[in-house]
Amino acid sequence: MKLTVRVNGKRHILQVEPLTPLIDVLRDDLALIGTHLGCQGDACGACTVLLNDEPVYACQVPACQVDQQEVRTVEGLSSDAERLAPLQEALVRAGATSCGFCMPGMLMTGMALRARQPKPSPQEVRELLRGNLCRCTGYESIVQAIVEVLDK
Amino acid sequence: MTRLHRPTTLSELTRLYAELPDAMFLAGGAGVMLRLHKGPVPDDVIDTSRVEEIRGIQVGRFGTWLGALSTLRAVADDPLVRKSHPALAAACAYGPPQIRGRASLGGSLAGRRFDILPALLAHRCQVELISHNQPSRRLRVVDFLEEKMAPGEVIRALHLPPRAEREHSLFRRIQTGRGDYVVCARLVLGDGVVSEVAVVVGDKSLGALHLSAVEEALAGRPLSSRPADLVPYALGGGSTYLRSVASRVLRSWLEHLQTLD
Repeated sequence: MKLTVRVNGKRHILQVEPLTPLIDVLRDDLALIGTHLGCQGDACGACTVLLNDEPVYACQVPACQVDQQEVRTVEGLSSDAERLAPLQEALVRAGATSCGFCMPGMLMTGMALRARQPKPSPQEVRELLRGNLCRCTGYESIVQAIVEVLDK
Repeated sequence: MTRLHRPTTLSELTRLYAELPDAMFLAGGAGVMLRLHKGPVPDDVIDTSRVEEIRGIQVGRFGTWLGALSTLRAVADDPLVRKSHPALAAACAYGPPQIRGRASLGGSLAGRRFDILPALLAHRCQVELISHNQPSRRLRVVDFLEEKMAPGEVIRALHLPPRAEREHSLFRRIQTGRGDYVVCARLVLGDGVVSEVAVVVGDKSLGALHLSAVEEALAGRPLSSRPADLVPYALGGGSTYLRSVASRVLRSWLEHLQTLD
């Protein structure tokens, strides 16, 4: 099928199989390898991207369902290629990055929260991060960083 | 190579499915993507996501209509559903946002999600099925789970009866290292006795199961927490842990209701 999709503000026209997972389109066709592939089974959240500003698991969304839609990945977080986005800076400051595998997913889920609930409580952030696993940090530093940025 | 079909109306959808009974259905997508890991890629895929007729929520005096394509998030966030069917709203609110925003109620029913089914059973949900050139038919969820859908049939909507006066409901999800369980219950009090009751548990291996012994001990009698001890030992393939969790959750809820009564 012909897939027309806007990723990080840029329009792409691709030829793909309809059931190709969105993550394969991002990583293989568009070379946006910031989105990580983990469990491939709706559990780890490392592949989270925003589809029309809503967080989704990119490994669970077939390409045909992003046709004519808007996708945002971790590469599109900062408008300045030389600078990190405020949420990325806060995570670095809080020492929340550790091995970093889960970070792209955590960042995108955090961005979704910003749109929905500008000043969330730590508990609300924890609930939102229910679909993102981290095996290094114990979550506290991630939650703190997200609360800190969204509180500003 | 997979052929993609994108109907935009319900009649187009049912006609396509009648012509292509082996086609794979796409709603939210997650169930299909998981199945693809285990099986072959289908020749035909019907993407239902553009059929607006089977999306939406209507809550009225005579009950609630939930379009099969309504997402779990839409159900969980709907203030009228939260008021009229709180256990279902709570079940739909629980999962991660990445799932809730995509998974459809119809897909969850067809995929027999153990975390959603107990609430549908407890709320006496009916499933409306439709096929090409045929009138729609309704089945109770409990019958839907036992009966095979006829070839070409599509889930159009779910119907819930209106909330009764003095109706109470419970939804608890218990996630531990030993498993992931759901306890869901609904009861109606009338004339000093329990006039209607449903107690359902769910876990991944078990699916959803009415606790008939508990229901029978509660029905038609004054409210008591004692039936919570009747949760069967056989739950979850002999899981004493699930039994003890379900008993504790039920007992505490029934005791709470007694204080209200």
